[in-house]
Amino acid sequence: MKKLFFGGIYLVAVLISGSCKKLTPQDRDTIDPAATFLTTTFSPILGRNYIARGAFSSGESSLPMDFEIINVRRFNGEPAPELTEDIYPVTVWKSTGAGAYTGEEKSIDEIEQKRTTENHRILEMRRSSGDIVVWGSVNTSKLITRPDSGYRFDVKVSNSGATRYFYNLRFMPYKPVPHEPHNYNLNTGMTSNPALTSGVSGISMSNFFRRRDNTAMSASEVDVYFNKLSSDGNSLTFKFLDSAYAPINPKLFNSTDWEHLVHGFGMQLTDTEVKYTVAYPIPLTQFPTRFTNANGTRAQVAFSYYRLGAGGVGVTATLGFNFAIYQKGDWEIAFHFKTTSPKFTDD
Amino acid sequence: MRKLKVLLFLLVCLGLKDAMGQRFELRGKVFDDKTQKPVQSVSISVGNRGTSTDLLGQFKILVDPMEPLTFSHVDYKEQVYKLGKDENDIVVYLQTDEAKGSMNDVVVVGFARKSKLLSTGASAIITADDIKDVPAANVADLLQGKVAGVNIQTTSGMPGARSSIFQRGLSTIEVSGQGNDAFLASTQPLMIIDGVPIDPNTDYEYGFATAGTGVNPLTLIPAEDIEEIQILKDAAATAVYGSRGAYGVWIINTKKGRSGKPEINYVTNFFLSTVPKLREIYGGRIERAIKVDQIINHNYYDSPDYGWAMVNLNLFLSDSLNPYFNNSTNWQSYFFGNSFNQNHNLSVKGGDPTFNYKINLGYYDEDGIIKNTGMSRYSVGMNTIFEPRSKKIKLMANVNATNQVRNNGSGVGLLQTGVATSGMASTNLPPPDIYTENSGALAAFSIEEDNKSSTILSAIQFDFQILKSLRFHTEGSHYYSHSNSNTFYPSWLNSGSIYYLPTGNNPQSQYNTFSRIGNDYYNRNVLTFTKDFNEGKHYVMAYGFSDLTVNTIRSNALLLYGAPNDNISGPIGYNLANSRFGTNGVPLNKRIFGYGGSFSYAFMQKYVVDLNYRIDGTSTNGPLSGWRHNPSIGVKWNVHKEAFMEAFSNWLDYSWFRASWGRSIVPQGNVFNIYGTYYPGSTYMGRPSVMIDFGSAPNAYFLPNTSVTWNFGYEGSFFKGKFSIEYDAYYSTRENIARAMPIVRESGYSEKPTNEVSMVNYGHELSLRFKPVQNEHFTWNLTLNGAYNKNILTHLPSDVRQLIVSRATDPNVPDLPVLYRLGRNALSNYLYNTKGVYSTYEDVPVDPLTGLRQQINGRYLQEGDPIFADLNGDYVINAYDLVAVGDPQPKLTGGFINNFTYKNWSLAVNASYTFLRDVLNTPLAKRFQYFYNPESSGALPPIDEYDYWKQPGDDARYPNPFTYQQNRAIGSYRYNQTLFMEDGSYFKFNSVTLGYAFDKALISRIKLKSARIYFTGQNMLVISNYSGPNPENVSDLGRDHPDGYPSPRKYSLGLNVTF
Repeated sequence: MKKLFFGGIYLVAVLISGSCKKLTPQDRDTIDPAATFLTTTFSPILGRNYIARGAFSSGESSLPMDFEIINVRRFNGEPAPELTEDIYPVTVWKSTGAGAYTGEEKSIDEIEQKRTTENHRILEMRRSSGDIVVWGSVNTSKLITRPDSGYRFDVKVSNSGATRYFYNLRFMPYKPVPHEPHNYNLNTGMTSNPALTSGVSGISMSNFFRRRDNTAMSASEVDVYFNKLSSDGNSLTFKFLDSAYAPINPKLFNSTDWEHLVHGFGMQLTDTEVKYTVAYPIPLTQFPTRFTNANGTRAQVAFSYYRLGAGGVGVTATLGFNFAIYQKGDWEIAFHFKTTSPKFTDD
Repeated sequence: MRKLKVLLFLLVCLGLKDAMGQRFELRGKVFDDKTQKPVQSVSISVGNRGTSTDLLGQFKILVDPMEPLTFSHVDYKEQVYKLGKDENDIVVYLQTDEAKGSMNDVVVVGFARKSKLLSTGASAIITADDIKDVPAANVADLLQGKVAGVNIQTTSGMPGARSSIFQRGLSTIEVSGQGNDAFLASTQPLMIIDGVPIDPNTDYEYGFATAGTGVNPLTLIPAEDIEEIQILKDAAATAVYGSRGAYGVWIINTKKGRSGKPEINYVTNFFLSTVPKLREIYGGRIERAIKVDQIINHNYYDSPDYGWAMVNLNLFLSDSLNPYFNNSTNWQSYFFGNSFNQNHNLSVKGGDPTFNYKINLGYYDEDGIIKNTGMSRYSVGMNTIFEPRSKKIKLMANVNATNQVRNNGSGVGLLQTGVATSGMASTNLPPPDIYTENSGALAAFSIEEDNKSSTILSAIQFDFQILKSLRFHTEGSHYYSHSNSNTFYPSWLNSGSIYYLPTGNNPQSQYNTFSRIGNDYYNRNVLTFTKDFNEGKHYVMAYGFSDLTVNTIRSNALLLYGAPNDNISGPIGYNLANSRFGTNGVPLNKRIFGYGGSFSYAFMQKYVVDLNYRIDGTSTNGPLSGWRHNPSIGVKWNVHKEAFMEAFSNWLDYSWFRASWGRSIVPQGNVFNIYGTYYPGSTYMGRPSVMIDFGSAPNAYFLPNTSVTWNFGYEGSFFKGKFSIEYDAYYSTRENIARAMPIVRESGYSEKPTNEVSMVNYGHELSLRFKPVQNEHFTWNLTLNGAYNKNILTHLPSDVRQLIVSRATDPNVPDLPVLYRLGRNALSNYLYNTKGVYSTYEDVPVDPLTGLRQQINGRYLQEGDPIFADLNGDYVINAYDLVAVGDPQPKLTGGFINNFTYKNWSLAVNASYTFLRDVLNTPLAKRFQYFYNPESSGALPPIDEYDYWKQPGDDARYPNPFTYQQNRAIGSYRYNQTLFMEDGSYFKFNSVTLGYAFDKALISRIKLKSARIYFTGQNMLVISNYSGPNPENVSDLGRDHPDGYPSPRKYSLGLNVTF
């Protein structure tokens, strides 16, 4: 009889614990019905690595979710093989093991050891975060750019509990612009003027005096030129030009820290120019280093010299310039003193 | 242990008879010795004749004088009665058969008392014996681990603090507050103390960490005065309390007078509360050395020059020869200390079944182990019962009055933030003094808080027998509580805004007053019909009832700032502009009216059916949702009464199955939920206007919290009580749980109260009782119990499957959200998954696109930083990387009780356990967080025992604690990470009592009836893998608190004498 009792108890226990699970909802992931893309149009400037974070608002969804770009097509509905089919080798940073770029690297090799090449499509979406990624170091000439309406694409968002589709997001890239600052028209891809005036270049000058009349020189008297000498090289050259476009000897900027002007190697300081072997893009990452501005977005250079000014007071003249170059090549940056050369001699 | 004895009474002598050889008719009544209730179906035999008692325990039989009568009943010990001369009307008290003890326990099921044999509900009884010998302010602490399915956790060591009580799992998911101070809404069972229903969840209006006085209903009655506590668990048992019974019902009865002679009982305990192991801290020079080293060698700029500059900026670091900064003060020793405490309880009982009385005087005084905290209670209780022999009427009246004085020190209830902060003051500072800085410390032990609460519980019950089988019962009760707290902060202690008012840099004195008055009224009327037919073959009981509950609470607060004088503590004048006054919380005026009926039928005591139906209206129901209908049904099969079980009767005492289904409710929310909030506006066209508050929309369909429970149970006792078992399985749904949801702005309102949360609790409860040895000298009793409860969330408002709540809005509060997700345990932790520590720079992942290292809060990670799993792979650790993990609710709880007695000695061991629970060890996190701020004054605890990162290549468990700026910025030691989620299982020895009862013959010479002395150790040992201070001292959300009140270990010496 005892057996029967315990048997009965056991039976009920099994029934209760077994059946309860069926009565209650399953523990599965969910996608909030209100989850949506907050940004639906993506307009990067091509030729640069681009990432759009936080475009998707997941609301009360279970995380992480799987994101997938599907059905990329041109705005008029035609297929877009340049985005769906073509795969390009791109330079990426090694994710693990090599360490990140710090600005302390001692050679080009050391930098290159932290990078590698992977095959990617130009437009991608990170699988778990839904961040939109556009790779920069590729030839983007096949892409349709603004002012065209560009591309449309759909996104499939799923987790183990649900799948949702978001339709007709837009990819409307701008034409590549190789450097910043610049005066390209983003829609046409044409420059309005090869010379960057101070309003565009954002150049800063302090304590410069004109050689001609020994009065204070302002930044508006200096234009900046970006010249790409070739696409194959790996160098960056700085030049200073007087009003007649004749080179000024850079050695006159006698208190410039030439060794640490840019994160480059093999400096060649001549009477006409200073040249470095560098790794592109410049800056390599947005990590703030001694070679960049405070938030790491642009490389920062400063040329300075010391002289005795009026009344025998020592002054340091400094020319500062922040820039970025996105394309590999032999680049030359020239500072053109339009009106007169600066005064290097003591008063 | 009840003694085996028979009470014989000679009641009335009706004339003389010519005795010898003359057969005459004897009348008599048979009562249960314990419950004083008539016993039916007792068979009486004289020679070869026999009869049995009727429903009222009466019998008639023809006897010869001097012939012995034998009384026998399956549940009682057989008894032989020898008629004295001239007796023809006798009263016999039958003693319960110990072996069948629990079967004969009388339980209150619904509004009628019933033998357990006929009750279909699941309930448990705790008697005075189970809770004796241990001094406690709160009776719940004594019940820990004693009842299967009742999970009691002592979450604070504060004297008289509320324990957390969960009966059969979680009943709400409402979380208030944010960060580590978030707390779960209280859903404790309804307490009925001597007929006065008290809702323990009121006075919780402000949460545990806010101001208020607070009366814990379980501290109202001295434990020594409690005769029994009945814990009603399933719907069939709580059905008639349906209007408030959904969280369970506890019926607490105080002792009654019974003995013929007045009996005076005195119990006293002297007990010592000792401080548990506290947080260790470095003293004096080491503290300074560590800080200086941190600043110089571990600053964010990797620059010793910067470090030296910072050290020199901070006098308390650089000016080490200054006597003010050159100390080694053990701050904790100023706050914590052992305390000697006492309690006394004197009761006088007397009377007979017709009229009896009891008066109980109690005094309880306990100082906390934190200075300036404690509680003392003065209580007076009395009850009296008048029931004439005819049993036609019964009148019972009782009054329990208590006055409690509490001192919260500088804390409020559960938390001792002031002590925790001041206790961690820098050891380099001089000891507390009026001329020194640490005013928080001085405040903690020099601010006098005048915090009193007075309560009066009074109840009167009246029974009237209209017909033989029809009784009318009416009762009324009143529960009055008044509590207030007055605190005066002199200006030199009123620093900053810690006392609820922004006071600025040069504060003035302040006077705070909180006052709360509660009045509860209760009335119930019951008409009961009881009848059995066919010589007890059919038994019918039916009753109809109505009950009315009225609760009113009013609570005020005055914060008067700018009193003119520091020496006269009182608000003689104050700065009106800076003061605040008004109601505290929402004033309450609540009604519940219910009526219904119950019908029970038993056939041959074998098959029992109970049907209940009640209809309730509450003032917090939406007006359009109507009356709530709460039916319940219970069935029972007493297997041992079956003919085919006769064969086993030599080893089977009893055995039965029961099953029940039922629905019960608890009102929730307030009138503002259903009618909206209106307030007086400005005048319009010269007329006053009334505006509606657009914060929360009215919901006219608002419903009470509803519980539907299925229960299946089995109980059996074998081998004359040597072994008995009680098993219950239940499946219970909680529906209509309130939750406010945001609604579209176009409605005009921002949110609306809904009833759309539901969840399921199911589980098993098992109690086993063993009595292996029972002889004259030596007895051994062992009780084991355990309950497994599983909790699953089944519905959320607006049909969503997941909600994240309790997100920190205050940037200074750690973000510790709670996740609700369908199909999971209702409350889940939502944490960062810590996978270790980055050993070197190269181990930190780099975003292939941007070339940047993984980052938190915009800071790039470095070696020695924690590895939080980057779930979405974006190389940024943020709220998108939280994972649902863990269950803060214990799944397996229970305990055991082991009693030995040998001759006059007794030894009782009582333990409880909690398994399968996840606890966030925030004290450990906090321990490392003390290293966050070397530039500010504060103590440092030793961390050498922990495996933290020291140099590149270390495979450590804890991040580098010394890189203070980095740790602060990225929150290396944030609370919400799996690194600090630990298994909170524990096994605790609640109490060990060694007692000695003096020889009765010996003490009778000094006029003592009985005397016992005993020694008890309480909270002796906690066995746990948990690395924090105490796995029990955690909140209902499974979070330990670095500022918690530690549980003391207590040793007590007690004396129990009866005159």
